[in-house]
Amino acid sequence: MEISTRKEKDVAVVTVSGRIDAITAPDFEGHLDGLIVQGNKLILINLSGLGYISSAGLRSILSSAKKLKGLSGEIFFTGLQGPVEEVFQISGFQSIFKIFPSEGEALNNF
Amino acid sequence: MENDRHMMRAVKVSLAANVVLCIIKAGAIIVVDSIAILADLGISCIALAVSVILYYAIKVSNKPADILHNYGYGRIENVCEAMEGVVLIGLALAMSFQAIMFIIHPDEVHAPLVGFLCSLASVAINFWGSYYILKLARKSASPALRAEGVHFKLEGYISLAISIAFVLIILATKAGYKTAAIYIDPAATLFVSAVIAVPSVRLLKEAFIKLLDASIEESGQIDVVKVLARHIDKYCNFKDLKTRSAGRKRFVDLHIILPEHISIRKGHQVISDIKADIHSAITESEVTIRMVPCEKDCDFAREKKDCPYLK
Repeated sequence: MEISTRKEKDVAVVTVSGRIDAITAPDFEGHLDGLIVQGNKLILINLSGLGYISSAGLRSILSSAKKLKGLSGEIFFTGLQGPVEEVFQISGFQSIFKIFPSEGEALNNF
Repeated sequence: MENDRHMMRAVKVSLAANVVLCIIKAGAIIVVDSIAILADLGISCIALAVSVILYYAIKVSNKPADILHNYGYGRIENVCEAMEGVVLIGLALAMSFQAIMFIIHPDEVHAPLVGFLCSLASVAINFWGSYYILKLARKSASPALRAEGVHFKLEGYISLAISIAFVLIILATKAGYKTAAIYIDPAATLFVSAVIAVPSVRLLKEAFIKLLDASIEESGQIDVVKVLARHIDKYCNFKDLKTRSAGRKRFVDLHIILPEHISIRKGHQVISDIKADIHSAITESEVTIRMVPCEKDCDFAREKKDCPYLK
């Protein structure tokens, strides 16, 4: 799993690629927690390079989203495709998170 | 209760099928002097013994939790699953050894047509048994029954390989290749041993992992996340989600963080709703959720705003 972060106005854009599974999920959650602690309230996660996400990855997202909600922040997504999109659909994440077709559209929204 | 009935029916089918298979193969071995059928008879005798053990294991696993076994007796099914794996690996090794001995000291097979017909009957019984037991194993989510179903399927393939070997022996003998025909029987036995070894090792590995308190299967864990997502507006956060299985039972432990001032009644209702949803998503599950008060580290507490989870 590879994670990179850049700042676009007030939004922290996190690009994650590879796999988020039981082994890598704690690192992913740690990275998001770090961004939250730094005061980032809007986090856009680009999943276009992600090949697989397990239940542990979904848990990390849910937990980080809850932490951020308590700080009046929000997590939103872009780049959903293939099996990752399918897992988002199955788990009901598509109905609880804002999902944008592209990074540009997501950033224009804020 | 229905699951218990399914399981007992499957075990009875397994017992009856194994008795019939032992009788057919014991009869065949008298007429046909074949190492492959001898090895197959060995498998069926051991399978019969395993079915008897399985019968008692399922009976024990159906017992409710008591003062000595607070989480029930489900784990005996994983022990049974591991035993099936060990037995099948042992059989594969023994069969390989005997086949090699017969390659060194070859012997002619008598009445291959009788051997073929007996093996064909075994194929039919084993595949039917496997289909029936695996169907009930899926309904009851029992790992021990699944192992028994896999066992039957493997036996079906073994009998199929032996049937093909007999056809080859008949054809080779008719074509005048008598020397080649002698080696078909042990060669088929070696092939069958290799076929059994791979899934048996997998079966043993899976059973061993479960005995070491591995988390439940990925689909079950996604079901838990799904429920948490569905109730996202009712709790502050969650932590310490742990899962494990014992036989067909699934255990889910979870801490749900709720606002400090939530009423006991409302807090209990939130927990009960989540618990009920997890329970209905995962069959035979036991869900333990502990309420944890929030640490007031959110903006709502700091800025003295109304907590959204108290509405």
